[in-house]
Amino acid sequence: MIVGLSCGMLASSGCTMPWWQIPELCWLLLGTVLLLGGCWGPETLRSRVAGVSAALFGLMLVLALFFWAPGGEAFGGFYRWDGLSILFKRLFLFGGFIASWMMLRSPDGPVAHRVEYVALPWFAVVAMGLMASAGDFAVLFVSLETLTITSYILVSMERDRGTSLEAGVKYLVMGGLSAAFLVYGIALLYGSCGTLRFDEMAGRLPGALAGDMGPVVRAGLLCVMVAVGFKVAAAPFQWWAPDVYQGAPVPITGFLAVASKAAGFAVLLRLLWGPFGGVRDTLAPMVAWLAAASILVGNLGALSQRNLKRLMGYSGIGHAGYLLMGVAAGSAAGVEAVVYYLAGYAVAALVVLGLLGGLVDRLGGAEMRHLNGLAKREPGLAWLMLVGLASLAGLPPLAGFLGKWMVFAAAFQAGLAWLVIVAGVGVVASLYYYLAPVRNMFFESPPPDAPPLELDLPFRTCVSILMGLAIILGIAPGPFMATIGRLLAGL
Amino acid sequence: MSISPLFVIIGAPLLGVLALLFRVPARLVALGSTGLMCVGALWAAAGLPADGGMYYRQGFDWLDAAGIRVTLGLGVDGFSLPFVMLTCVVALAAVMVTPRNMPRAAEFYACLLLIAAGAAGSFLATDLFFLYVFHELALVPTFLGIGIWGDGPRRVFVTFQTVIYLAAGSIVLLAGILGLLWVLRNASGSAMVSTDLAALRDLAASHAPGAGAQRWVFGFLLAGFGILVGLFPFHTWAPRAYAVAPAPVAMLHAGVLKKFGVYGLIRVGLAVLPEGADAWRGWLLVMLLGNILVIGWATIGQKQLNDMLGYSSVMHMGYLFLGVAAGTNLGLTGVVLLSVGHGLSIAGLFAVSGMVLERSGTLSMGQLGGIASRLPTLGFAFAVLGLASVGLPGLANFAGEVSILFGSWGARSHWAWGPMPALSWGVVAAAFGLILSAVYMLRATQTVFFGAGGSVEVEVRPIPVAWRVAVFLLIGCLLAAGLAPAGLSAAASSGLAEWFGGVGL
Amino acid sequence: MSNEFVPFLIQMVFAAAVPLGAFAVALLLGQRARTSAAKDTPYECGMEPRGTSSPRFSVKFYLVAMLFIIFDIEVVFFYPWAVAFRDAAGQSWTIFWAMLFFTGLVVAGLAYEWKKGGLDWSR
Repeated sequence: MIVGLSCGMLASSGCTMPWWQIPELCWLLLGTVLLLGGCWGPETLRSRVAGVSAALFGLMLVLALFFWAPGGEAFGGFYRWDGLSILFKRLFLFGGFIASWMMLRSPDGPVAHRVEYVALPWFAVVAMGLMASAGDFAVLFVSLETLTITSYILVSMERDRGTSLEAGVKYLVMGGLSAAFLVYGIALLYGSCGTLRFDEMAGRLPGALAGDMGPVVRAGLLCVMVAVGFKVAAAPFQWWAPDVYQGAPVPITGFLAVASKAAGFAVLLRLLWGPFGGVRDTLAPMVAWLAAASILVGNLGALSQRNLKRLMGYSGIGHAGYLLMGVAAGSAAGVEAVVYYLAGYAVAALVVLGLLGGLVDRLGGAEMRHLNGLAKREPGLAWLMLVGLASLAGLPPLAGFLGKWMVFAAAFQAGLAWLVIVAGVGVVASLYYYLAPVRNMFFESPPPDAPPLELDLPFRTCVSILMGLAIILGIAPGPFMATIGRLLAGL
Repeated sequence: MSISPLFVIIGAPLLGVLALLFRVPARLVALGSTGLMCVGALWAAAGLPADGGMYYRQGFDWLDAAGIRVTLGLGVDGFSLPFVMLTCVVALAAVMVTPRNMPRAAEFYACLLLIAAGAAGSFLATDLFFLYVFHELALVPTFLGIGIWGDGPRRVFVTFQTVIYLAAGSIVLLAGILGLLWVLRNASGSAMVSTDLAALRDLAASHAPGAGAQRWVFGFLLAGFGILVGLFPFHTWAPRAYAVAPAPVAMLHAGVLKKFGVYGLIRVGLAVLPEGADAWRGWLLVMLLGNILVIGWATIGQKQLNDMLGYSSVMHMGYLFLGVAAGTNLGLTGVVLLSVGHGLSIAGLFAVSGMVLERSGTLSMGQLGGIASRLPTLGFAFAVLGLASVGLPGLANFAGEVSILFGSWGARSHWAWGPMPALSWGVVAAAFGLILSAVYMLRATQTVFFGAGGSVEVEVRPIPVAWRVAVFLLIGCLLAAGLAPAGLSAAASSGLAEWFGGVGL
Repeated sequence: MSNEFVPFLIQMVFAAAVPLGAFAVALLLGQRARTSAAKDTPYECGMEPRGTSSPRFSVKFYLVAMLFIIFDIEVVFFYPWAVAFRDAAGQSWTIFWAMLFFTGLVVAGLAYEWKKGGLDWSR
């Protein structure tokens, strides 16, 4: 444990870090301890396992924020400890922290499998961390599969609810398909380049693409990009997202929306600024088309949604599209914008989903009509929700606006003016569906027999802090952007 | 960093909103913050230099990202000062005419203060990014203000239509802004472009972008700002929104916030992209004549008092755009004067129609009648404000309209038709439009206030003192600006001359 | 494309051709059967083949099967590890700790399984 807690702190110097210092090992141990402690431990521990988990996530996040410094690699280059991976690991820990905080309170979620429910996010975070740090396609594939399998369980954990099972099955089928694409793509790339190592492939890929293996390389690249497209829920690989977001317990929806999407983008950036760096210009148009399709499909699909979780699923597709714009720009400015956008999206989406998770049983469901009159029942919570939705819609002075500004500017700079116009259509459409719940909250009257809404102080604090972050990121982005710039300097 | 009145003007309403989060006497807080705004505006006016140039300028580095340097810059010059003063006065009046028994008062005042802060901020920003951001700040409060406290069977539909229309305008504007930065970067070849307005203007002067680039960027700016103002044919949201909105929100939006589009078009569009403006002048003339003649005609046909006011407000935007199309110093000065006059008068008119609605329960002109005999204050106020809006000499609108018409007569145009250049034909049509506005305004005054008794009962109760003070404050400002327009027009004229640096005027 | 991939291509074509060809031949040469409800019913030694389409059955067997596979694979890992151990351990003990860590994780899984009753046949 103590060894584990010091993880990553010592890694600041030197080119190779000892394998036992990589933080994922520590997280893995903590997850295992939580799982076994929850099963074998005393009753006092078992009843508080969610609290312990949230506290540990918080501790890890603090360590990650204040003590990590980039530089070095482990396992002979299979594991990279650079700025990109550090930024994303912080985001994963943040997602895990908020999700486990929401589990403290969230009434939906499996009662019989409380321990697994709490411990599995740790394993998911381990897998995401390894994905962000992967230096080799084998590591990438194994960690991606670990994440996917963990997610299947988390999504379908409420076995007595039909939608949850449906979501699990859909996710399983889609995940299997995407894994097949990934493996096939990796095989083709290996066949044409003769290596799985990212750094070696980076040197060989442009030559292979130009040579007589060109078609094979193209097919391989296409397959890998399709698999990543599944992971980030980009259109046309987005079908699973609305069902899964709707079916999963709310904390898991939040976790998937934030951390899992971020993990997909970590892989995408890692690939495009690593092994695929030499062929990035070939792939950029494809990413741009994915972005345009995602923006249109996500934002137009969300227009008719009446379930808030499902709506967040569709809007998540749209946000993946905006993020892909930054990737398609292919510049350092684009990558910085993507990281900022992800952080802003995480904060705002967690405000909305967090509030929903805390209130869903008192409201009677996650349909929009259940929000009717929230502003009269609990004005404070309604305004919190409003800020979250406004940030997602990209209204200043919130983080969502600045993220869009930077992503659009980066795309413009890369000559993708047409994509900015497509995105503009998406933004206008999104305003409609983000304001639809606001109408229910502020314009409608509460149902006559509405029970009082009680939300405990820790939960209110959590959501308020998240809202504060959405505002602070929006009005004082300087220090945050400086950190991003510093950590991504060597990209 | 020294304390400047600009901080007071922007900070007071924002602090007011913060205070409203707690259980405080909401009306008092709102009155206090808007009162402070007015004090700040007077303070800023007192410090204006004789040459009308940027004053109280302060800038803070805010963000360097994606090749764009954003500074949080504030400043005021002779051009923006009238708009700022208008904002402060109308904000104060809007708070004062809000009924004391307003449901969910704290939230309502918070919305008003946010709209006021957004409007004031966008007029005070010396940075393109913040000019846009501050205006967007007002979007959600507008949505809530119309949706929660609005009136009418189609309230929710109109609320959504308005907000989505405004958001569409904003996003077109955002595309235009990003396009402008991109074009200027390409033209100048520098890696980092500052969004500071003065820097952009100078950059465009030294490295003018090509005519084609100017044309398409200005097209985006014109469409974006045009939607926000209600330029024909992008106006359909405006009359409905003002008809449904509660009086204070309509006052702030129609009186102040809508002027942002005209202000921005002059500050950014004309100054940075003069060639683009030239290319669009013909189209602008067609559209603004649509505002004046088509909307003017539609206004005459309105059956509801608030619909009529909403349409008339959109119609008068045509005159502002005429001044913009002319682009002469005199014409633009007229735009400033008319903006102030129109803002004050339409705010007052909406206050009156709100009171009529409160007292009679309807705004249908067929059912109302003879209100002046029961409530003489309302009749007097509506008559004065209506005449101001028609352009009675002695009130601010007259000075503005005259300046615009004179400034546009014979202004350079791309084409001529018959004996006169195109803009002069525009002036003739606009002068005809004045007759239209006289028709509908005088008819409304006649039927609603001075005619025979209507079919609905009017509740006769003393009109609240705060309401009277607010409306007479607006009328007083109209009179002051109308009887002695020299100060205002000198400030605007010199400020514009300073901003344009004598180029193209 | 290099010639090494030609056999691969041939195999793919062959793989597609066999099932498609079988269908085509059946369609061309086969006789249309006269069907009835009784003929379409699966033959179940005289039992009535009726019931719900999704019967519930115990997943115990699958649980044990999966456990077996996990430990089976662990053993598969152990063989090459044991072969390489003597040489590698002479340079550094990393190989030892790594396998110990791995084994520990598998044992943790076993402990979890035990507590959850996954090894309890009678339930």
